[in-house]
Order: sequence, then C-alpha cells, then structure tokens
Amino acid sequence: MELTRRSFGKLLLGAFCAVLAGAWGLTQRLAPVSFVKALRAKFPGKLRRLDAAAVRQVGKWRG
Amino acid sequence: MIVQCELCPKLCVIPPGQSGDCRIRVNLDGKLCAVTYGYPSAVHIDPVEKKPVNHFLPGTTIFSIATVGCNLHCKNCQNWEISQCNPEQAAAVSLPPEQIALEARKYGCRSVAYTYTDPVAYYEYTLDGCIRVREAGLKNVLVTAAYLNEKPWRELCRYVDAATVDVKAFSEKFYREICNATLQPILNCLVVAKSLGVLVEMSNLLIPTLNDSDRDIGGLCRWIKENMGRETPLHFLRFFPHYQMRHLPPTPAATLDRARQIAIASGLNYVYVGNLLVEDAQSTHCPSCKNLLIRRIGHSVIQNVLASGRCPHCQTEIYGIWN
Repeated sequence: MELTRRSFGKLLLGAFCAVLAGAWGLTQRLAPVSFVKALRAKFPGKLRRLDAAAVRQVGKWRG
Repeated sequence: MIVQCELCPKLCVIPPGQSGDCRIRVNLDGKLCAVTYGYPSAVHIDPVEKKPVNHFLPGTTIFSIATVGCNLHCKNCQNWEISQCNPEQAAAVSLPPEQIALEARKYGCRSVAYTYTDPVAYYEYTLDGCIRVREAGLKNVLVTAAYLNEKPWRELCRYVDAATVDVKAFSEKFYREICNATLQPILNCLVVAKSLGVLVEMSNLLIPTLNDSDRDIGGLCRWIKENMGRETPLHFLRFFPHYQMRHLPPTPAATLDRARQIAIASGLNYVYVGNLLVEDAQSTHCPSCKNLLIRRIGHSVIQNVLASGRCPHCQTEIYGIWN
C-alpha cells in the first residue's frame, strides 16, 4: 500500500498525540498533589478501652 | 498518585501506601490521611505545672492527651516510645474530638493539653479538639516544638489559650544534627502565637556539651526579650540520658543555675528550672517588688497570693491566665 504524504502526516500526528498523552499521564502520576489538611482514616493499630484508673494516674511521659 | 504534605516545613512527598516523616500522615489512594485522628495512645490527668506551664491556672489539673507520631526525631527524646512509634504497633483508645471536653469535665479538669508527642503532627485532631473544647467552655494548651508552617499554625492559634514551646537549642546546627529539623520556622511560630494573643511559655532542655554554652543560652534569652517580650516565662529543664543519647550525663545543677542567672541578667522576668528540685527556682516572684507570689515545690503549688492576676504588694499585673 502506498504511503501518501497525507496518511504519513496523520500517522505522525497520531504518534505525537500518543506520546503527549503518555507524558501527561506520567506527569499526573509523578507530580505530587499538595495537601495541608489530612482526611480521617481507620486507626491501623490496636484499640483498647479508656481505663479510668489509668487516666487518673499522672502521665509517665514528659510534658 | 503521589501526595505532598504541606503541614510542616518538611514538605514530605509521600508515595502511595507510605507515610510522611511523622509516621501518622499517610498517602491512602492518593489522599493524605491522618491515621491517628481520634485515637490517642496516652490519656492522663496531670498537674498543669508538669507541662511545664507556670502562668496558667496554677494548681489545677489538666486533661492530657497524645497520639503516637512526631515530626521531629530528637536523639534525646524522653517520650520516644510513643513519639517514634509506628501507629500499626501502637495501642490507642477511641476519643473523638467531641468527647474530649466531656471526659475532661468528668475528671474535674478546666483545661485540655495536647502534649507528650507533638500535637502539630496530629494537627487535624488537635484543631478539631481545640474547637470543641473551647465551645464547651474549657481552655486549650499546646505542648509543642511548634515546627509547623505559618498558615496552619495561625488557624490553630485561634483556638489555643496557652502554649509551652520547647526550643531545643538556639542553633540551626543543633536542630539539623539532633532533631532533623530547622530553627527558623519555630521562631516564626513563636512570634505569630504571641501576636495572636496566645499565652506563650518557653522551655529549653539543657544537654551537657551540646546546647549549654553561655553563647547558646545568652542568644536564646536575648532573642526572647527582643521578640517575645521580657514577660515570657522561660523554663530551663534538666536533661536525663534517653533514647539515642545515653552516653551523656544528666545536666549538672550548676549549669541550670548558670542558665537561670544568664536569663535573669538578660532581663527576663520569669525564669524557672525544671526536672530538678531547687528551692525558689520554680516559684514566681513579682518582677517589680520581687515579693514571692506563687511558691511551688516540684509540680505542687504550696502558696498563691496573686489577687486577680496582680501582685498584692505593688499591684503589678502578672503575665498569665489566672482564672
């Protein structure tokens, strides 16, 4: 099949668009999105009950 | 998707599934999430003097909470077991912001402290807690290193009554090498807090050979006098070997006394020594007539003759929140 000047131009444009879209997608994945405030999330550790006797004790930590 | 946390000056860039430097701000599905929100790992009733805060409701108890995590990594951290702990390995209780004031009242406390680790790391919980606590008619106290960007700090300060800010040293080198942080943002936060009407007290843990020179102490005192005002209370605290700094001895009593003398000579009105029982060094005197106003031993108030926040002898107004 003969490659005409017009179809070669279309191919070139298509390839250019594909590269541009890929680069855009990559930028979106790699460029960080900035946040100041964080959302609530599930606590990943162990949960225990609030123990009134322990609360009444002065904290062993500094501060 | 990668996220960047703009809460503190570290500006952590966080890949999916990982946390920032504080361990508790996590990138979950491209969103920044606070995994300790509403889940403190330490809940206690402390004397307010333990924070240390000497010019805020003396002799009262304060409902004190902390989640795990911290945005500083001081090699001398005294609370490293909770501050440098991963939330996955921690145990916590469920205490949403709206319940903090209820619990504080239940235990007879007039104020709440966000303390032990650093409340700026669990910022959203601190902020929402402060809002709810103030709505309930109680007061809020931060115990913090104040390593935060200005915008979120300004928002938080609107709801804070008092803050005791721990300045680790008056040296960028110390902050870089010992704390993995920088000094200038902290100085900025101090000035901002004062300008917004927060009662600010400052503390400085003196570590032998690292931040206890006359130059370090004098520099800090001059900066306080020039930028915060001579009425700003300053607490020099005794260091004890902890965490990654077990090779240094506890601070000698003579060093703490020297620091106190430098601060007084610099013109600061209220200078205290903590973590060491020294007669008179925890008590408050009138800066005008020098009479004893509040006598403390350790964290206990033995005598308080203040009358409506004034010296009963010369009527000088004493900096603080007294009622």
